[in-house]
Amino acid sequence: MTPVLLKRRFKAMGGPCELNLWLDPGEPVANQALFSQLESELGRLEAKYSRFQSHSLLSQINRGEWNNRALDAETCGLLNYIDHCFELSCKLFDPTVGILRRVWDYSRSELPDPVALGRLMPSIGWPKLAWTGHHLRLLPGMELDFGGVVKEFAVDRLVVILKQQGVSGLVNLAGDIGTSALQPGDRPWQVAMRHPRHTQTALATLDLAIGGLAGSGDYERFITVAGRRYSHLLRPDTGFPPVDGLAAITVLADSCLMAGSVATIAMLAGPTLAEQTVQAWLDEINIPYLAVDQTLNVFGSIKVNG
Amino acid sequence: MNQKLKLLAQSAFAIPGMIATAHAAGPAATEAAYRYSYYSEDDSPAARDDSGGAQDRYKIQVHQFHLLTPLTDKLALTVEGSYETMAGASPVYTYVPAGEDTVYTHFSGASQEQRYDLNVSGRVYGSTSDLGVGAYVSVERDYLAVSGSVDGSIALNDQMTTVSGGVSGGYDLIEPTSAYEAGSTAQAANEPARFGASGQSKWQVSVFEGVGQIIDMNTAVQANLAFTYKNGYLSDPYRDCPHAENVPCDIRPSTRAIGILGLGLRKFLPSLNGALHADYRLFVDTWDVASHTVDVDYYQNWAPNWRLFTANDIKFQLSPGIRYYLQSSGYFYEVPDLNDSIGGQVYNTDTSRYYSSDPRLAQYGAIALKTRLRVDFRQFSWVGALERYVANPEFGFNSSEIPGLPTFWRFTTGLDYRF
Amino acid sequence: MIMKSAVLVLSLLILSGCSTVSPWQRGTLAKPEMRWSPDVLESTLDGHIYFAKEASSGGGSAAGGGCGCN
Repeated sequence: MTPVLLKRRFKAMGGPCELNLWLDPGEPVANQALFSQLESELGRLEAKYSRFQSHSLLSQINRGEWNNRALDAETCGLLNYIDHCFELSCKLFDPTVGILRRVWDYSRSELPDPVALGRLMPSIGWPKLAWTGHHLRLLPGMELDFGGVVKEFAVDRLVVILKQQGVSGLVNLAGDIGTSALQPGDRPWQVAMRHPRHTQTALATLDLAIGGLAGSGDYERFITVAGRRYSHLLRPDTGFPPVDGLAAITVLADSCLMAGSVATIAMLAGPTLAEQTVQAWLDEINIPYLAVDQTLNVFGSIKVNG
Repeated sequence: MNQKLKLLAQSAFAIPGMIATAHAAGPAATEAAYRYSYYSEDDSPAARDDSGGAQDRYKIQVHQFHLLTPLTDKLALTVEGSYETMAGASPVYTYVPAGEDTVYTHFSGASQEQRYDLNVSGRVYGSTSDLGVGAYVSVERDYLAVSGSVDGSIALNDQMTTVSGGVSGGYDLIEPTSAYEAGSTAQAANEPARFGASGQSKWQVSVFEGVGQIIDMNTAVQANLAFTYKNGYLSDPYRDCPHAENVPCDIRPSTRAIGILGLGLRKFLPSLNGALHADYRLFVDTWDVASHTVDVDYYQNWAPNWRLFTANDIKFQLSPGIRYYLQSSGYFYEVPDLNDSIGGQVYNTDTSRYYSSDPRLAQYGAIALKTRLRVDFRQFSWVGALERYVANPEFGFNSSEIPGLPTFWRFTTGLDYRF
Repeated sequence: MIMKSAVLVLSLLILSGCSTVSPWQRGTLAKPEMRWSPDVLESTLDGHIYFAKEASSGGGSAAGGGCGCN
């Protein structure tokens, strides 16, 4: 039978998840098996890398149980990728900033106590973990957080499963998106980019072929103090969010992982990165993106559908 | 996409599971390779040479070429060829001369030969199966060999098990050199083997079956069985010897049936970033030759994390290995003792029909130590390899002397290119 | 020792009791150093030289081949 678009919505990885798959309605058993396979892969990654589960690999790492012990291939691959992003971002993309959540409280409109923040800063710094490509060692007081990559990686994993089954679908994990193929009739998928200040409306809709899309914005979680917005993206050098950076950015890439990392780096950079403006940096690496700055000026290389 | 982004993409796709690899798709890239090898046998001991001097034994230089091209995403073509030059003396016959009590070897005069060969094959890939067809030809001044083969494989059981099989057939034509003089009674008398081998041929048929099994994400094993049947002129035409009139020098049965069992293990050791290979081959045939071969190799990877190396994809791989070979003698192998000649008869009666003193049919063992180094640089790889091979009757639990066994060094260097 | 391993391998094949290694876990098995023959030209030359110098031949693949024997 001709495929129809079947949707599944559920919660995973701390947020809303949506699977849109073109499936043959005459094969309910096979379709359910596929959905189960996708959900169990999400569950596997969550159980492995969630800092909220005390038995997760990440929690074990953070307790020091994996110091100087060779980690598995998947974790090594992710950490090597994070290491690469650390270098590419001029040390801004840092998986050890998670401990700052102890002093940044987004439910109140207060900046963190500078003394408390100052005491945490020495425990931040990816190079201090001495990553060798196979093992690392966590110093007391430090914490590793895969939050910057695991959701995007999960999107890519689910897309790989869809590709292996020959299914065209779109995976959306709280705004991190991946597609395995064009829709039937070779039509692209349509994705809306949220307006950073009027968050219930779309700034633009984009055509997505095969690949990943990820975005970041200062509207996702923030506090406002004395008329200034402080977002949830914290820099490892200051302990504060970037000043005068972008309001939002959406990036397209072959994988959601790459799209997400580039988006995060562009947001953390503030106005400049590697002695260039963020816009020049993005244009130089030649990746499709759409960005909004603090004056709500929209720019970027993606063609928009208005 | 600029270089920075390309490198980031490589890091992303190096994470296991980021690339869909379900289908046993055909190869994606074209690869070309060249190897130069130099093989040199140790000089034979003067004390065991009936000419009284040490012989400059065999030296071979080989140039090998390989090209694999995907023609479509389901069809690939492979072309391989080699050019070989050979020079040096080789053992012709082994015996105990009259008046001596030790074994001597007689060597042929040094010769210079060349050999060319070419192998062309095509393979079609399905989602869980493949089928290949190949043709092969080898040409030397005195020898022409042609063969063809068909083989295929199917992946079952969630692609955890692979079953493969194939058949092949070959035909060889022998035209021993030092010009054949048709109708020459002198040559027929003095070089009976060479004279008799002119225009001789042999054919062979082979069938094999194999099963491969993935045990876990780091381990795979394989077992295979092969049967070969050969028919025709299987003797060695260069082994004319002057022991006595009507003394055959190398006359082997005209048929040979062979059975081979092979077992293999490949295990990756993630904490060491290395792979262990172990292979065993059991060989039995109707000439009573039985052999065991054990091959163990370890491939150690090293990819330094410094900027220059990661930016250019520079990686190293060192792989030492050891091979142990043990064979029993063919039933018609004998080293004649000319002191025992009774009434012109120099052999035991059960070798009067077939006979050979070729050291390759004796009971002996051989140990080879080898090491290989591979350096990857972007799309290129340089390889270098060194091997030391020693064949010795004591390695085969044989207390006799076999002076003709080879001991050699082999050196290889080459380049691979993927595009 | 070798016979025990052979029996073990054969029984594994018969029972196929291995839990499936998912396609996305097969990155390691696809590495070049995990192939049955990591270097094709090296295997070809090995086969040629050992066949010319020993009484045994082959090892699982097709038959046929030149001589270069002496």
